[in-house]
Amino acid sequence: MSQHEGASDGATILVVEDEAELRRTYELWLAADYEVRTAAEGEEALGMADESVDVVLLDRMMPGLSGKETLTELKERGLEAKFAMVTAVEPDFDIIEMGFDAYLTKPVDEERLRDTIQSLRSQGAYSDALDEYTSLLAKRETLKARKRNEELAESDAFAELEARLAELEARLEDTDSGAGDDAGFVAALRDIDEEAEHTGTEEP
Amino acid sequence: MSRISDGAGAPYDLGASFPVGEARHQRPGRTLLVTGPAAVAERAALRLLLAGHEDDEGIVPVSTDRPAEELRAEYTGLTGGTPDDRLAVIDVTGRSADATNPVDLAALGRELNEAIAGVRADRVRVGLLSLSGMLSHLDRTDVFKFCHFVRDRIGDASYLGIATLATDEADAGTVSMLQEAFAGTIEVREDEKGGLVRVVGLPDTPVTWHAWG
Repeated sequence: MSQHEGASDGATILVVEDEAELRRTYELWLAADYEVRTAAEGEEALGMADESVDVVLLDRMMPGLSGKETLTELKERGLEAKFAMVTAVEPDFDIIEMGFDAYLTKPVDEERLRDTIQSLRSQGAYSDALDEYTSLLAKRETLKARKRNEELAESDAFAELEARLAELEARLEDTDSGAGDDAGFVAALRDIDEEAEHTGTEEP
Repeated sequence: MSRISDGAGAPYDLGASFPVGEARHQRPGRTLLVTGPAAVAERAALRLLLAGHEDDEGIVPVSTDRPAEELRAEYTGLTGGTPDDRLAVIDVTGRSADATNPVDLAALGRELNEAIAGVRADRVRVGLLSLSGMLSHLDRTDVFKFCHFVRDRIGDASYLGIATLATDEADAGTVSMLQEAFAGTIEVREDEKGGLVRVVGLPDTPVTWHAWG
């Protein structure tokens, strides 16, 4: 994921939808606030997805690659975007299992589309802040184990670490993690799994 | 969420026997960590979860250490032997046939969702028994993040969360780090006279040891 300054900060959205009219509608709704790319099918989307893409909106049923297949392929290529599936059927537990971060049931209206994208942007910002917060907490414990309290009290670097932790804590407090609902919760946990797979342990 | 009824606003009662008066009633949405020697912490957490039985609450323990059957037996034993649909144990020991792999957090999350949806109660106590079990499979940073998201999930739904961490199985730094993911810590220990408990990190709650028989 690139930057997370706010909700409509020129983030890039990739819309993958085989129905031309829907594709245009979504683009129209989003173009004022986001950089929008559109693809008519999964194959085409694969060529358009690069690290500047923040959110991918995938139709579930498309000719050629399905939404799920496109998601799997993009994830295998290491694309660190958030993924929303647009589906005609109400998502159940099976669909949550597929690996999407959010779900939109057709017909999609403008407000729900915007809300979903904002929430996905917020999830991205939250997990970036949580990653940094967590690794700094681990670092703090490592320092506390190695140095005497007096040494830490005099250390500018330690004071900076404490200040940064407080800042991140406040940011986490103010940002919606998206983990409050069933799908967002599973998506957040899946991110931990995927990150652990890619990076191994994060301990210094 | 639609599952929240009018009753969700009432505090969760940790039980008439819980000796720290200021902490006995917990506001909905909080997740607390119980620390102490493994067996003592586990017993304490179970008591705190089971206190919800009398209030008609759902009880959903995630077990990393003990087979689900064992927990179910203990629950039915302690609650008068009534098998019921307000208990759902999630087995992540990796030992029994229907157990979820302890390192697959997404699968664990799905099971937790399903279990919560399945218990016949609007108010739910979720247990993580124990974080020590998770630490034997996962990095402490991953366990920390997991706890963070569980706390959000519980907070949004106004449930009560109770996790345990065995202080005799983790180093002090890991205990101190994981504490940061919780609203407060319930410390338990035993001396020759019996069980003791104190509450750390909650507002308006003095940090004093109390006997907990």
